[in-house]
Amino acid sequence: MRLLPACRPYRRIDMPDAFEFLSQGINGVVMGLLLSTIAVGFTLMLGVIGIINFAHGILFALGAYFAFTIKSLFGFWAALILSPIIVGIIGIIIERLAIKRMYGKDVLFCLLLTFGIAMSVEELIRMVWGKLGHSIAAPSFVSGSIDLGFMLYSKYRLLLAGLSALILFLVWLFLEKTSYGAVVKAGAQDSEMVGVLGNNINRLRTFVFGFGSALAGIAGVIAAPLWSVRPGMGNDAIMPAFVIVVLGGVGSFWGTVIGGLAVGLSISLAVMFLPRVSDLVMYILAAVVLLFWPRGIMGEKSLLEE
Amino acid sequence: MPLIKGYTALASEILIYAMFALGFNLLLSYTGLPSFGHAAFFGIGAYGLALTQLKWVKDLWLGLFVGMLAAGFFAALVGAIIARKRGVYFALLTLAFGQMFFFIAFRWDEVTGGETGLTGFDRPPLAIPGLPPLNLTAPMNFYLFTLIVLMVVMILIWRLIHSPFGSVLQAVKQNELRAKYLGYNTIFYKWASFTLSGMISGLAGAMFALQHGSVFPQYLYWTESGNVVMITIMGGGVVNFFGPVLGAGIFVILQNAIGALTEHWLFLLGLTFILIVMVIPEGILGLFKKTKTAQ
Amino acid sequence: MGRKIENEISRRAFLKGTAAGIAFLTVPGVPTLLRAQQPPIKLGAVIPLSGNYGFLGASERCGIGIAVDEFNSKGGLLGRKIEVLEEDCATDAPLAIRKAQRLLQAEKVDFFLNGGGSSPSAAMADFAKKEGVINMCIDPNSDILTGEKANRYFFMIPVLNYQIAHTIAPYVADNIGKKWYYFTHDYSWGWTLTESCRKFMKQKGAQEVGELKIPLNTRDYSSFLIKVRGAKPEVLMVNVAGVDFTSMVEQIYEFGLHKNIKIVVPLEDFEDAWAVGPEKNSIFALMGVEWHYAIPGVPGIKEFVDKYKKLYPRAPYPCPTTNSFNAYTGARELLLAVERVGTLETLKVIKALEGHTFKNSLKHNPTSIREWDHQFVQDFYFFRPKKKKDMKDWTDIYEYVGYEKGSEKAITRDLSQAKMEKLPGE
Repeated sequence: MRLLPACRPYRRIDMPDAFEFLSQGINGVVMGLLLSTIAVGFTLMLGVIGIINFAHGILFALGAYFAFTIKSLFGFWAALILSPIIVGIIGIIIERLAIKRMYGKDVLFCLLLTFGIAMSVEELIRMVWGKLGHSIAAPSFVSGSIDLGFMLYSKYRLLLAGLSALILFLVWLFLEKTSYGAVVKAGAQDSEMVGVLGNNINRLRTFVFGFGSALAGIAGVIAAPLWSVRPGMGNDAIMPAFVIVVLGGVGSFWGTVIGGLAVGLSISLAVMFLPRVSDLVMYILAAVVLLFWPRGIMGEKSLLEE
Repeated sequence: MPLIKGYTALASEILIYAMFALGFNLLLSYTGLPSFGHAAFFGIGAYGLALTQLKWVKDLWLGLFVGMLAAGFFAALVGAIIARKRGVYFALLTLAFGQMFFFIAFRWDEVTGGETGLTGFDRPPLAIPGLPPLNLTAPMNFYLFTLIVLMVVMILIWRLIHSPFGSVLQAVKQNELRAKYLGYNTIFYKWASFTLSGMISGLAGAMFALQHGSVFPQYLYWTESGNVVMITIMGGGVVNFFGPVLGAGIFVILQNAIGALTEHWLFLLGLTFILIVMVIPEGILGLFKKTKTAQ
Repeated sequence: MGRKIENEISRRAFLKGTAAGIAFLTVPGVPTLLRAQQPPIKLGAVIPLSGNYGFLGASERCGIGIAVDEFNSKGGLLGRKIEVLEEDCATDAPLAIRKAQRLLQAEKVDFFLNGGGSSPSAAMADFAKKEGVINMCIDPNSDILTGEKANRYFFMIPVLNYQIAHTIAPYVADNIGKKWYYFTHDYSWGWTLTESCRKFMKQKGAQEVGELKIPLNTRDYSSFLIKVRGAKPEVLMVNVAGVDFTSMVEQIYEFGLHKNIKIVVPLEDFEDAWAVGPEKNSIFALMGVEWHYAIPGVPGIKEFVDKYKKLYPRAPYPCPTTNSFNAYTGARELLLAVERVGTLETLKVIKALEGHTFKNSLKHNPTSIREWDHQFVQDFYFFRPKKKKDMKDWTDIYEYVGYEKGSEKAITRDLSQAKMEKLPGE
């Protein structure tokens, strides 16, 4: 029973050279930034509201689909701005109508509720936009490749990295430098305390859910030209989000960024040596991290363990 | 209705899902731990049986046994890592582990057949001492066999719940801290419950493989885990021992009935989940319970 | 040109273009208006309408429909109208079986056709044998389907990997380059294609400089492309298909890989080329294609194309593709076999198909149905991308290069693993 497919006798294992390491490393960082962007909304919702939002993936997908439609009518930049707003509003509606009834109940019910939402909205996407995928072209000013000297790289990915970094920076700015952001950040660590201190906990939760949804949406917009738009694309987003949150620590902004970069780089590393395990490698990484940091790299003890 | 016609196989499927959900419910309602990755153990049981039939020896009991043990083994491993947690964090970890097993099944082609899965194994005959072996290929025979296995499993779980061990489990569910102060090694009990629950799910998976004569990695996908949670809740598993059985029946019939009506049945299924969670979170049997049973 | 197509498609999609799709679906195939004296003959079609090979289902449906229409417009088969019942397998093996099970038990179909790639087809091969019903398999190319999975009930229409490699690899080694890198789609189809290519590559003195296994559902190819570039091959053999293929082509184009490396795809579906658009598809130096309307000098192609355009004016693809062709051939030959023996009895129809040869193959040479592995032995073609200035319209993307005879290049009995079982009564 062969365990490692790479060890067949006639195939030499190609050792990568320095250029390849560098290229893969850059690529890993780009992927990591995108994954962090996907995960940051999820971790805020988990930290502040205490729910595992299965619908995060489908909000990501909705972001991509709305972008697909808006882009064909009004262009990429309009999609970049409008789509997350629409998804954020949808998030707020979901929270007001359904999620808030689950507060105080066993965590399982919220899980199931968002699971049901994800299932039906995915089918709704199939009904409205069709079952087949669509590819979205990158905006024309970033299509094609650029010569970085030592390698050719995709222009759009550089833009993607830039946009992800910008989004993460804006989120960080919000959490660190604004007063409401401070409330959210505190709530991510300890939502009960925030309520006791006199903040309107309901309004906070609604806000965070909407904000998190919008973040999922914008991640969908920027990922769409890369991953193409398919009804099942939410699954490609939600699983890494789970792993990143476990890795980085629940509710921690920097944990999410570090976790995202770690996952992106480990996937690139896997592709260099053993591509077949590239989707398994983030789980292995998470398992290893948990051995040394049981709550994630930057996680702290939270009410989530109740 | 034409969809139900000739469908003894459907009835067998209900029994198998009931077994899966009962095993799951041991962990959920009697120990208070929400697992969203149990399809992994179901799938491991299925692959265990398939690999036994295809690579080792075609034997009914051996196949079921291997499936059950393999699932129990991996449940024990995972349980050892996560038994210290509870609540949302516990659920998150079960999800991650569940998906990890899915990817192993999906990618480890040499063993699991990868995306193509393992197909082409028949149901071995059931050897009854003193009588000629029973051919399980006939749907009715297989149904009866499944029924008997389910009955045995149900009796065993019932006995377990009403034993001292079961009482400790429920104490852990009520208030783990208090149980700890009373001197119980709660982590051990959580681990044991997780392992047993995994084993039962594995047995259900092995039966499922037997019924279909094929196994695919899709059996381990996280949406299947979600389905078993919904089955358990829908029937009223949180308030009644038989809830999962009812839930399994409703789910399988719904899936087939709606599936025949429209290709967009997933939309209706998702809506059903949402409504049940919001309106009758204690499931159908929860509507009938008179007093809050001291579980 | 790709962007124009994209906007068009998205507008249609947004305005619920699927409604139009449903409208065209009801033309042939679901004869609610036909008043048959006898119950209709039912064909069960388990085809991919979503998932990795979702693009193929629309074409396959049209191909089946043309064949059925050829009979129904002349009064049916054995005096009965033919009805096609479709189910979406979503490129998913367990789902394919569930749908097939339902078609058989609840709808009582008489014969099956299936598509969706190698995995659902392997499962359908087992299903056909277990249930004793004929299945015409119309889109996968994996050798195991006429090898270890071969059985008397299962018939294989498309050209398989061994023959594809036997046709393409020698040409590439002689004309394009001698240092090869492989992208192997990480499942049975990809592996067998690469294995076969390797064999013929070595025979022609070319050498392998590396291989990467591309996992299914890979979205991001950047790491793989960087690796290939590092190996500096002359030729890159892209043994990848479906949605994964279209994502890869776009990313290869983005990375500019084709500027330094000659890229060959031994098997391309027109649907995938259509999805990426002719500009991106021009990254290829050579494409292996089972069938295309631009094949010169073959009688019957023009009529087939005209029928397609007449019956399906609003189909997603404006011209028939390999998959419409294979679906058409499979359905037509099944129905003709039934006509030849005058009965629906499975065992008799099987014998009528085995060993049959037909001249109206829509290819240069006649096609024959081999009895020891149930392969439809047919020619395999290769093309290069047409220059924009030579294209008559958007579908005219292939420039004919050549072909090889099926009878010379298909796998031979000594190399095959096929073991046919005896039918009851033999």
